[in-house]
Amino acid sequence: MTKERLSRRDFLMSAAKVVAAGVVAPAGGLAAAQAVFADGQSTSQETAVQQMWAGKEWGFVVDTQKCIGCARCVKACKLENKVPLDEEVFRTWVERYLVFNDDSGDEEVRTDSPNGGLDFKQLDVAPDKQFFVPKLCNQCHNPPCVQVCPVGATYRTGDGVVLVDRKRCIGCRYCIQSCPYGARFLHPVLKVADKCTWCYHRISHGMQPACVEVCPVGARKFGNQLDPNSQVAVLKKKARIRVLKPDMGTKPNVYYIDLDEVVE
Amino acid sequence: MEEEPGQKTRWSQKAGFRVGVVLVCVLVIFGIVRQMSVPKSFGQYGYYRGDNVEEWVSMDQTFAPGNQVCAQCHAQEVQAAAQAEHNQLDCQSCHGPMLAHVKQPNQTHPKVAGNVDLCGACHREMVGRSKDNIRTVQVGSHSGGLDCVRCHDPHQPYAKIGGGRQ
Repeated sequence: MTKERLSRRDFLMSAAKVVAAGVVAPAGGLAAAQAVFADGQSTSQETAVQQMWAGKEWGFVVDTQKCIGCARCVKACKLENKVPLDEEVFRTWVERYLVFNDDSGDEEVRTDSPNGGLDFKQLDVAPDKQFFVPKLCNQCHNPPCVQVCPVGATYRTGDGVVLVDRKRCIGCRYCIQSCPYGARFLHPVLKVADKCTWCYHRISHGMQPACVEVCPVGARKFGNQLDPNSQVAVLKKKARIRVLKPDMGTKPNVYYIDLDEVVE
Repeated sequence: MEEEPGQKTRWSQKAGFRVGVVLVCVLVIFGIVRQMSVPKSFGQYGYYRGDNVEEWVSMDQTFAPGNQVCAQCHAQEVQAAAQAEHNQLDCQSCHGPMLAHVKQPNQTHPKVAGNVDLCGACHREMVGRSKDNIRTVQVGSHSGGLDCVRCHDPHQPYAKIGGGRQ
Protein backbone atom coordinates (compact mmCIF):
# COMPACT_ATOMS: atom_id res chain seq x y z
CA MET A 1 0.00 0.00 0.00
CA THR A 2 1.32 3.37 -0.94
CA LYS A 3 1.59 6.07 1.55
CA GLU A 4 -1.02 8.76 1.01
CA ARG A 5 -0.19 12.38 1.43
CA LEU A 6 -2.84 15.04 1.58
CA SER A 7 -2.29 18.59 0.53
CA ARG A 8 -3.35 21.17 3.08
CA ARG A 9 -6.12 22.43 0.81
CA ASP A 10 -7.62 18.97 0.33
CA PHE A 11 -7.49 18.26 4.02
CA LEU A 12 -9.26 21.51 4.91
CA MET A 13 -11.90 21.01 2.21
CA SER A 14 -12.80 17.50 3.27
CA ALA A 15 -12.70 18.42 6.95
CA ALA A 16 -15.10 21.29 6.31
CA LYS A 17 -17.50 18.94 4.49
CA VAL A 18 -17.39 16.43 7.32
CA VAL A 19 -18.02 19.06 9.98
CA ALA A 20 -20.95 20.46 8.00
CA ALA A 21 -22.46 17.00 7.61
CA GLY A 22 -21.86 16.26 11.28
CA VAL A 23 -23.75 19.34 12.38
CA VAL A 24 -26.65 19.20 9.94
CA ALA A 25 -27.48 15.51 10.28
CA PRO A 26 -27.97 15.32 14.09
CA ALA A 27 -29.71 18.69 14.13
CA GLY A 28 -32.19 17.41 11.56
CA GLY A 29 -32.55 14.21 13.53
CA LEU A 30 -33.19 16.14 16.74
CA ALA A 31 -35.83 18.30 15.10
CA ALA A 32 -37.54 15.22 13.72
CA ALA A 33 -37.39 13.50 17.10
CA GLN A 34 -38.86 16.55 18.81
CA ALA A 35 -41.67 16.70 16.27
CA VAL A 36 -42.46 13.05 16.99
CA PHE A 37 -42.38 13.45 20.78
CA ALA A 38 -44.37 16.68 20.88
CA ASP A 39 -48.11 16.14 21.26
CA GLY A 40 -51.07 18.39 20.57
CA GLN A 41 -51.93 18.69 24.26
CA SER A 42 -48.96 20.85 25.14
CA THR A 43 -50.02 23.59 22.75
CA SER A 44 -53.51 23.89 24.23
CA GLN A 45 -52.03 23.97 27.73
CA GLU A 46 -49.63 26.62 26.54
CA THR A 47 -52.44 28.90 25.40
CA ALA A 48 -54.36 28.32 28.65
CA VAL A 49 -51.35 29.43 30.69
CA GLN A 50 -50.74 32.43 28.47
CA GLN A 51 -54.41 33.42 28.72
CA MET A 52 -54.17 33.16 32.51
CA TRP A 53 -51.17 35.52 32.49
CA ALA A 54 -52.57 38.03 30.02
CA GLY A 55 -53.07 41.52 31.46
CA LYS A 56 -51.87 40.53 34.94
CA GLU A 57 -49.07 41.79 37.11
CA TRP A 58 -49.76 40.80 40.70
CA GLY A 59 -48.85 43.24 43.42
CA PHE A 60 -48.89 43.29 47.23
CA VAL A 61 -49.35 46.20 49.63
CA VAL A 62 -48.48 46.02 53.34
CA ASP A 63 -49.81 48.73 55.67
CA THR A 64 -47.30 48.98 58.50
CA GLN A 65 -49.62 51.36 60.39
CA LYS A 66 -52.30 48.72 60.69
CA CYS A 67 -50.32 45.60 61.58
CA ILE A 68 -50.83 44.51 65.21
CA GLY A 69 -48.31 41.65 65.15
CA CYS A 70 -50.83 38.88 65.78
CA ALA A 71 -49.05 36.59 63.29
CA ARG A 72 -52.30 35.04 62.06
CA CYS A 73 -50.73 35.42 58.61
CA VAL A 74 -47.67 33.40 59.65
CA LYS A 75 -49.79 30.54 60.93
CA ALA A 76 -52.23 30.59 58.01
CA CYS A 77 -49.35 30.60 55.53
CA LYS A 78 -47.81 27.52 57.09
CA LEU A 79 -51.12 25.68 57.15
CA GLU A 80 -52.01 26.64 53.59
CA ASN A 81 -48.63 25.80 52.11
CA LYS A 82 -47.83 22.78 54.28
CA VAL A 83 -44.71 24.21 55.83
CA PRO A 84 -44.03 22.37 59.13
CA LEU A 85 -45.33 24.46 62.04
CA ASP A 86 -42.59 23.41 64.44
CA GLU A 87 -39.66 24.32 62.18
CA GLU A 88 -38.00 27.74 62.19
CA VAL A 89 -38.69 28.40 58.51
CA PHE A 90 -41.23 30.88 57.20
CA ARG A 91 -42.64 31.97 53.88
CA THR A 92 -43.94 35.06 55.63
CA TRP A 93 -43.01 36.39 59.04
CA VAL A 94 -43.58 39.46 61.21
CA GLU A 95 -40.77 41.58 62.65
CA ARG A 96 -41.12 43.82 65.67
CA TYR A 97 -39.18 47.09 65.64
CA LEU A 98 -38.51 48.98 68.84
CA VAL A 99 -36.66 52.28 68.48
CA PHE A 100 -35.05 54.00 71.47
CA ASN A 101 -33.66 57.53 71.43
CA ASP A 102 -31.43 58.56 74.30
CA ASP A 103 -30.67 62.12 75.38
CA SER A 104 -27.45 62.35 73.37
CA GLY A 105 -29.45 61.81 70.20
CA ASP A 106 -28.24 58.26 69.61
CA GLU A 107 -30.77 55.90 68.15
CA GLU A 108 -30.96 52.25 69.10
CA VAL A 109 -33.10 49.87 67.09
CA ARG A 110 -34.09 46.49 68.49
CA THR A 111 -35.64 43.96 66.16
CA ASP A 112 -37.01 40.54 66.93
CA SER A 113 -39.21 37.94 65.31
CA PRO A 114 -39.40 34.94 67.64
CA ASN A 115 -40.79 31.93 65.80
CA GLY A 116 -41.64 34.16 62.86
CA GLY A 117 -43.71 36.42 65.10
CA LEU A 118 -45.87 33.69 66.62
CA ASP A 119 -44.12 33.99 70.01
CA PHE A 120 -43.68 37.71 70.68
CA LYS A 121 -43.06 38.33 74.37
CA GLN A 122 -44.01 41.24 76.54
CA LEU A 123 -40.81 43.13 77.34
CA ASP A 124 -40.07 45.48 80.22
CA VAL A 125 -39.00 48.38 78.02
CA ALA A 126 -40.55 51.64 76.89
CA PRO A 127 -39.52 52.36 73.31
CA ASP A 128 -40.04 55.75 71.70
CA LYS A 129 -41.25 54.17 68.52
CA GLN A 130 -42.78 50.73 68.10
CA PHE A 131 -44.26 48.93 65.15
CA PHE A 132 -44.50 45.63 63.29
CA VAL A 133 -43.40 44.90 59.74
CA PRO A 134 -44.69 41.80 57.96
CA LYS A 135 -42.21 40.39 55.49
CA LEU A 136 -42.60 38.04 52.56
CA CYS A 137 -41.09 37.40 49.15
CA ASN A 138 -41.01 40.60 47.11
CA GLN A 139 -41.47 38.76 43.79
CA CYS A 140 -38.85 41.09 42.31
CA HIS A 141 -38.96 42.25 38.71
CA ASN A 142 -35.26 41.54 38.65
CA PRO A 143 -34.87 38.51 40.95
CA PRO A 144 -31.30 37.58 41.93
CA CYS A 145 -32.49 34.12 43.03
CA VAL A 146 -33.56 33.30 39.48
CA GLN A 147 -30.28 34.52 38.04
CA VAL A 148 -28.12 32.30 40.22
CA CYS A 149 -30.06 29.03 39.88
CA PRO A 150 -27.70 26.63 38.07
CA VAL A 151 -30.43 24.24 36.87
CA GLY A 152 -33.25 26.54 35.76
CA ALA A 153 -35.42 25.42 38.66
CA THR A 154 -36.70 28.86 39.61
CA TYR A 155 -38.34 31.43 37.40
CA ARG A 156 -40.69 34.39 37.25
CA THR A 157 -44.10 33.69 35.74
CA GLY A 158 -45.77 35.92 33.18
CA ASP A 159 -48.04 37.35 35.88
CA GLY A 160 -45.17 38.25 38.17
CA VAL A 161 -44.63 35.48 40.72
CA VAL A 162 -41.30 33.78 41.34
CA LEU A 163 -41.80 30.03 41.68
CA VAL A 164 -39.57 27.04 42.41
CA ASP A 165 -39.77 23.86 40.35
CA ARG A 166 -39.60 21.24 43.09
CA LYS A 167 -38.85 18.44 40.65
CA ARG A 168 -35.83 20.27 39.21
CA CYS A 169 -34.39 21.92 42.32
CA ILE A 170 -31.23 20.17 43.52
CA GLY A 171 -31.17 21.95 46.89
CA CYS A 172 -27.85 23.72 46.35
CA ARG A 173 -29.03 26.81 48.32
CA TYR A 174 -27.49 29.37 45.93
CA CYS A 175 -30.84 31.16 45.71
CA ILE A 176 -31.16 31.24 49.52
CA GLN A 177 -27.80 33.02 49.67
CA SER A 178 -28.61 35.46 46.91
CA CYS A 179 -31.93 36.78 48.21
CA PRO A 180 -31.31 40.19 49.83
CA TYR A 181 -34.53 39.82 51.82
CA GLY A 182 -33.90 36.38 53.30
CA ALA A 183 -37.19 35.21 51.84
CA ARG A 184 -36.02 31.74 50.85
CA PHE A 185 -35.26 28.63 52.90
CA LEU A 186 -34.66 24.94 52.39
CA HIS A 187 -37.92 23.06 52.93
CA PRO A 188 -37.22 20.78 55.91
CA VAL A 189 -39.22 17.88 54.49
CA LEU A 190 -38.87 18.20 50.72
CA LYS A 191 -35.21 19.37 50.85
CA VAL A 192 -35.74 21.83 48.03
CA ALA A 193 -35.72 25.63 48.06
CA ASP A 194 -39.06 27.04 49.18
CA LYS A 195 -40.48 30.54 49.32
CA CYS A 196 -43.66 32.58 49.32
CA THR A 197 -45.61 32.05 46.09
CA TRP A 198 -48.32 34.60 46.93
CA CYS A 199 -50.38 31.39 47.16
CA TYR A 200 -50.16 30.84 43.41
CA HIS A 201 -52.59 27.91 43.73
CA ARG A 202 -55.17 30.33 45.18
CA ILE A 203 -54.65 33.50 43.15
CA SER A 204 -54.81 31.54 39.90
CA HIS A 205 -58.34 30.51 40.91
CA GLY A 206 -59.53 33.99 41.90
CA MET A 207 -58.90 33.61 45.63
CA GLN A 208 -56.77 35.82 47.86
CA PRO A 209 -53.51 34.57 49.37
CA ALA A 210 -54.10 32.88 52.74
CA CYS A 211 -52.30 35.63 54.70
CA VAL A 212 -54.45 38.33 53.10
CA GLU A 213 -57.55 36.25 53.76
CA VAL A 214 -56.98 35.93 57.49
CA CYS A 215 -55.40 39.30 58.34
CA PRO A 216 -57.82 40.70 60.95
CA VAL A 217 -56.88 44.35 60.42
CA GLY A 218 -56.55 44.53 56.64
CA ALA A 219 -52.84 45.26 56.75
CA ARG A 220 -52.23 43.11 53.68
CA LYS A 221 -53.71 43.90 50.28
CA PHE A 222 -53.28 41.87 47.15
CA GLY A 223 -54.35 42.44 43.57
CA ASN A 224 -53.55 43.08 39.94
CA GLN A 225 -51.35 46.14 39.48
CA LEU A 226 -52.49 46.48 35.87
CA ASP A 227 -56.16 46.77 36.86
CA PRO A 228 -56.60 50.46 37.75
CA ASN A 229 -59.58 49.64 39.99
CA SER A 230 -57.78 47.08 42.12
CA GLN A 231 -56.99 48.04 45.71
CA VAL A 232 -53.30 47.54 45.07
CA ALA A 233 -53.23 49.82 42.03
CA VAL A 234 -55.17 52.53 43.89
CA LEU A 235 -52.95 52.35 46.99
CA LYS A 236 -49.81 52.29 44.87
CA LYS A 237 -50.95 55.51 43.26
CA LYS A 238 -52.29 57.38 46.30
CA ALA A 239 -50.51 56.11 49.40
CA ARG A 240 -47.01 57.02 50.58
CA ILE A 241 -45.22 53.83 49.70
CA ARG A 242 -41.69 52.48 49.78
CA VAL A 243 -40.12 49.18 48.88
CA LEU A 244 -37.45 47.32 50.84
CA LYS A 245 -33.82 47.89 49.84
CA PRO A 246 -34.53 49.84 46.64
CA ASP A 247 -30.78 50.31 46.18
CA MET A 248 -30.38 46.59 45.45
CA GLY A 249 -31.97 47.14 42.04
CA THR A 250 -34.26 44.17 42.46
CA LYS A 251 -37.45 46.17 41.81
CA PRO A 252 -39.68 44.56 44.45
CA ASN A 253 -43.43 44.19 44.04
CA VAL A 254 -44.33 44.38 47.72
CA TYR A 255 -45.13 48.00 48.55
CA TYR A 256 -45.05 49.19 52.14
CA ILE A 257 -47.25 52.03 53.35
CA ASP A 258 -45.52 54.40 55.83
CA LEU A 259 -42.44 52.25 56.15
CA ASP A 260 -39.97 53.66 58.68
CA GLU A 261 -36.43 54.27 57.49
CA VAL A 262 -34.94 51.95 60.13
CA VAL A 263 -36.53 48.95 58.44
CA GLU A 264 -34.27 46.92 56.22
CA MET B 1 -1.15 15.61 -5.32
CA GLU B 2 1.66 13.26 -4.70
CA GLU B 3 -0.34 10.10 -5.30
CA GLU B 4 1.29 7.43 -7.36
CA PRO B 5 -0.35 7.13 -10.77
CA GLY B 6 -3.10 4.52 -11.06
CA GLN B 7 -3.47 4.05 -7.32
CA LYS B 8 -6.40 6.07 -5.96
CA THR B 9 -7.04 5.95 -2.22
CA ARG B 10 -10.52 4.79 -1.23
CA TRP B 11 -12.54 7.62 0.27
CA SER B 12 -13.28 5.65 3.39
CA GLN B 13 -9.56 5.41 4.09
CA LYS B 14 -9.08 9.15 4.24
CA ALA B 15 -8.15 10.62 7.61
CA GLY B 16 -10.76 13.38 7.30
CA PHE B 17 -13.53 10.82 6.96
CA ARG B 18 -12.48 8.94 10.07
CA VAL B 19 -12.35 12.12 12.13
CA GLY B 20 -15.77 12.97 10.73
CA VAL B 21 -17.25 9.65 11.82
CA VAL B 22 -16.03 10.21 15.37
CA LEU B 23 -17.44 13.75 15.32
CA VAL B 24 -20.83 12.62 14.08
CA CYS B 25 -20.98 9.90 16.73
CA VAL B 26 -20.16 12.42 19.47
CA LEU B 27 -22.82 14.80 18.21
CA VAL B 28 -25.45 12.09 17.91
CA ILE B 29 -24.73 10.82 21.43
CA PHE B 30 -24.86 14.39 22.72
CA GLY B 31 -28.19 14.87 20.96
CA ILE B 32 -29.66 11.71 22.44
CA VAL B 33 -28.43 12.45 25.97
CA ARG B 34 -29.74 16.00 25.74
CA GLN B 35 -33.09 14.80 24.45
CA MET B 36 -33.38 12.40 27.37
CA SER B 37 -32.17 14.72 30.14
CA VAL B 38 -33.90 18.01 29.27
CA PRO B 39 -37.59 17.88 30.22
CA LYS B 40 -40.03 18.16 27.35
CA SER B 41 -41.59 21.44 28.39
CA PHE B 42 -38.29 23.12 29.27
CA GLY B 43 -38.04 26.43 27.46
CA GLN B 44 -41.76 26.59 26.69
CA TYR B 45 -42.11 30.05 28.29
CA GLY B 46 -38.55 30.72 29.36
CA TYR B 47 -35.52 29.06 30.87
CA TYR B 48 -37.57 26.68 33.03
CA ARG B 49 -39.91 23.68 32.83
CA GLY B 50 -43.20 25.04 31.49
CA ASP B 51 -45.27 22.22 33.02
CA ASN B 52 -44.29 23.44 36.49
CA VAL B 53 -46.66 26.43 36.18
CA GLU B 54 -49.60 24.05 35.88
CA GLU B 55 -48.28 22.00 38.82
CA TRP B 56 -48.40 25.05 41.07
CA VAL B 57 -51.81 26.14 39.79
CA SER B 58 -53.34 22.72 40.50
CA MET B 59 -52.02 22.43 44.06
CA ASP B 60 -54.67 21.86 46.77
CA GLN B 61 -55.93 24.79 48.83
CA THR B 62 -56.56 24.63 52.58
CA PHE B 63 -58.39 27.88 53.31
CA ALA B 64 -61.86 28.53 51.85
CA PRO B 65 -62.29 31.61 49.64
CA GLY B 66 -64.06 33.82 52.20
CA ASN B 67 -67.01 34.57 54.46
CA GLN B 68 -69.59 34.39 51.67
CA VAL B 69 -68.94 30.64 51.50
CA CYS B 70 -69.49 30.29 55.26
CA ALA B 71 -72.69 32.37 55.06
CA GLN B 72 -74.33 29.78 52.83
CA CYS B 73 -74.87 27.59 55.90
CA HIS B 74 -73.98 29.80 58.87
CA ALA B 75 -75.82 32.97 57.81
CA GLN B 76 -76.83 33.86 61.37
CA GLU B 77 -73.30 33.80 62.73
CA VAL B 78 -71.83 35.65 59.76
CA GLN B 79 -74.51 38.36 59.99
CA ALA B 80 -74.07 38.73 63.73
CA ALA B 81 -70.32 39.13 63.33
CA ALA B 82 -70.75 41.58 60.47
CA GLN B 83 -72.61 44.00 62.74
CA ALA B 84 -70.11 44.00 65.58
CA GLU B 85 -66.48 44.85 66.33
CA HIS B 86 -65.10 41.82 64.56
CA ASN B 87 -66.72 42.70 61.22
CA GLN B 88 -63.36 43.00 59.45
CA LEU B 89 -62.39 39.44 60.25
CA ASP B 90 -62.47 36.46 57.99
CA CYS B 91 -64.17 33.54 59.77
CA GLN B 92 -60.99 31.56 59.26
CA SER B 93 -58.86 34.13 61.11
CA CYS B 94 -60.06 32.42 64.30
CA HIS B 95 -61.66 29.19 63.10
CA GLY B 96 -58.65 28.14 61.03
CA PRO B 97 -58.58 26.58 57.58
CA MET B 98 -62.06 25.41 56.59
CA LEU B 99 -61.95 24.24 52.99
CA ALA B 100 -62.11 20.58 54.03
CA HIS B 101 -65.21 21.41 56.09
CA VAL B 102 -66.76 23.29 53.15
CA LYS B 103 -66.22 20.32 50.86
CA GLN B 104 -67.45 17.71 53.34
CA PRO B 105 -69.43 19.46 56.08
CA ASN B 106 -70.46 16.23 57.80
CA GLN B 107 -67.07 14.56 57.76
CA THR B 108 -64.93 17.26 59.31
CA HIS B 109 -66.00 19.07 62.46
CA PRO B 110 -63.50 21.80 63.20
CA LYS B 111 -63.19 23.11 66.72
CA VAL B 112 -62.03 26.51 67.82
CA ALA B 113 -60.44 27.14 71.17
CA GLY B 114 -61.86 30.33 72.65
CA ASN B 115 -59.01 30.67 75.11
CA VAL B 116 -56.44 33.34 75.86
CA ASP B 117 -53.94 31.89 73.41
CA LEU B 118 -56.29 32.50 70.50
CA CYS B 119 -57.74 35.85 71.55
CA GLY B 120 -54.45 36.98 73.06
CA ALA B 121 -52.75 36.70 69.67
CA CYS B 122 -54.40 40.04 68.89
CA HIS B 123 -55.57 41.38 72.27
CA ARG B 124 -52.62 40.65 74.55
CA GLU B 125 -50.90 43.75 75.83
CA MET B 126 -47.41 43.77 74.39
CA VAL B 127 -44.53 46.08 73.57
CA GLY B 128 -44.81 47.00 69.92
CA ARG B 129 -48.59 46.72 69.84
CA SER B 130 -50.13 50.16 69.91
CA LYS B 131 -53.33 50.65 71.88
CA ASP B 132 -54.42 53.06 69.14
CA ASN B 133 -54.78 50.15 66.75
CA ILE B 134 -56.35 47.49 68.95
CA ARG B 135 -57.94 47.09 72.37
CA THR B 136 -55.46 45.19 74.48
CA VAL B 137 -55.61 43.68 77.97
CA GLN B 138 -53.19 42.01 80.35
CA VAL B 139 -54.66 38.59 79.75
CA GLY B 140 -53.62 37.16 83.11
CA SER B 141 -55.22 39.79 85.30
CA HIS B 142 -58.11 40.52 82.94
CA SER B 143 -59.66 37.04 82.90
CA GLY B 144 -57.96 35.42 85.85
CA GLY B 145 -57.23 32.38 83.72
CA LEU B 146 -60.77 31.89 82.47
CA ASP B 147 -61.41 31.32 78.79
CA CYS B 148 -62.36 34.55 77.01
CA VAL B 149 -65.58 33.02 75.65
CA ARG B 150 -66.95 32.68 79.20
CA CYS B 151 -67.76 36.39 79.09
CA HIS B 152 -67.31 37.40 75.45
CA ASP B 153 -69.14 36.06 72.44
CA PRO B 154 -66.44 36.30 69.77
CA HIS B 155 -69.05 37.14 67.11
CA GLN B 156 -70.39 40.03 69.20
CA PRO B 157 -67.71 40.69 71.82
CA TYR B 158 -69.84 42.85 74.14
CA ALA B 159 -73.26 41.23 73.68
CA LYS B 160 -72.95 38.79 76.59
CA ILE B 161 -71.80 41.41 79.06
CA GLY B 162 -74.64 43.84 78.58
CA GLY B 163 -73.72 45.30 75.23
CA GLY B 164 -71.48 48.08 76.52
CA ARG B 165 -67.75 48.37 76.63
CA GLN B 166 -66.34 48.00 80.09
